[in-house]
Amino acid sequence: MSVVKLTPMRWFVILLLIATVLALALPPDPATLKLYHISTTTYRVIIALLLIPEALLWYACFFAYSKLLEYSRYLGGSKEHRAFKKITLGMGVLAYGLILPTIVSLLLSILSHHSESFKPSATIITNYISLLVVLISFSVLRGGTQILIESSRSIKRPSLRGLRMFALLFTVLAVFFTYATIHTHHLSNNAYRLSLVPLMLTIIIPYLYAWFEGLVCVYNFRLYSIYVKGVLYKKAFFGLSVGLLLTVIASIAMEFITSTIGARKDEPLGFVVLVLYIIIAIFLAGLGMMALGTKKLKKIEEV
Amino acid sequence: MVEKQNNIYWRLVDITSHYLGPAAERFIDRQVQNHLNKDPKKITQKDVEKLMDWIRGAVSLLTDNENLVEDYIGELKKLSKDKISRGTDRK
Repeated sequence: MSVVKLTPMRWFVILLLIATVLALALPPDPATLKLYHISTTTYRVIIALLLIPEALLWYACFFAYSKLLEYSRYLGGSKEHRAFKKITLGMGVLAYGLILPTIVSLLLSILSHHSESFKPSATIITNYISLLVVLISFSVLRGGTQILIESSRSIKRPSLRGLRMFALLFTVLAVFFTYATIHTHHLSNNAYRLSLVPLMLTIIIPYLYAWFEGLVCVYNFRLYSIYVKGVLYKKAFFGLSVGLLLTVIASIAMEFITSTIGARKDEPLGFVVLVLYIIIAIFLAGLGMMALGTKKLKKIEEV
Repeated sequence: MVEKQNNIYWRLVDITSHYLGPAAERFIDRQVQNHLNKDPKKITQKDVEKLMDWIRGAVSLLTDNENLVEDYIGELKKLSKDKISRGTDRK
């Protein structure tokens, strides 16, 4: 009897089916229907429309992950093998981690329908899963890029100017995120359903740490793509490096919007959706560039 | 461990690394094993000559830039005709 191998793309199809069935089959929350004055059918149409860009994003992430997986198999025994193995693992965590919180959230919503008091707990659980995904994937990706630059003797230490710019960028990001999250917390029942101290200790600080790891990872990749030898290799690696930059930036922007959504009540819904679609488009472009860059690197190993 | 290695092999890898970076060694190993059926570390200048057409074909699949391919082949031609010392110590 032949055993069907569960490749990342097959996992994507399975998980997408589960998410779609759950999203469309679960009964809608009556409070939501009442709040937006919509029927059950309209609700399901909206959910289906929202699922399309999300499904595209999941597909792009699984595709980039599967390309990295194929590429790292060619590198067996080389200096870059350990680095790309980790980078692939980081992308894998991101790929599965983008889709799993949605499925968990849908499953928890079944419990929420039976017990209204479970709603905040469901939100907290889903948010912590999303946080863990970003934290683990960015840390693993950073670890991989660190090995990559350490394997290259030609890479010089980052300049003081570069470090200053990096510090400034991160400080600005940290201050804005902290301000926006706490401001939202004061304005309304924040998206995380936590009081101020747990919010700061278990959400803001871990997110800022994860983003720091993500930005260091982008910086390492950029450094490697500048100093690595090989005209054709550099060209292929450039796509991967810019793709990763866009992916990390979009991931940060997405979380930024999610955490400050409560403060955007006065902004038109269309504007918020437009911003989210732009971020998803950047995310998609980043993942697409990563996949194409990896495809080019893989071709070098195949000829 | 210090071991005696083939100078031609390492010069070939060095030239290739200007085009294929860290993938150069794997690329040369593949070309030698697949087309010459021999240990890559034991290649000679004559082997480099034999490999040139295979390498041209392979690199042409990676880029449309013919000048780049010709530059690479030009360097391989020089290597195949250069006077090379028999061996070198390499870590």
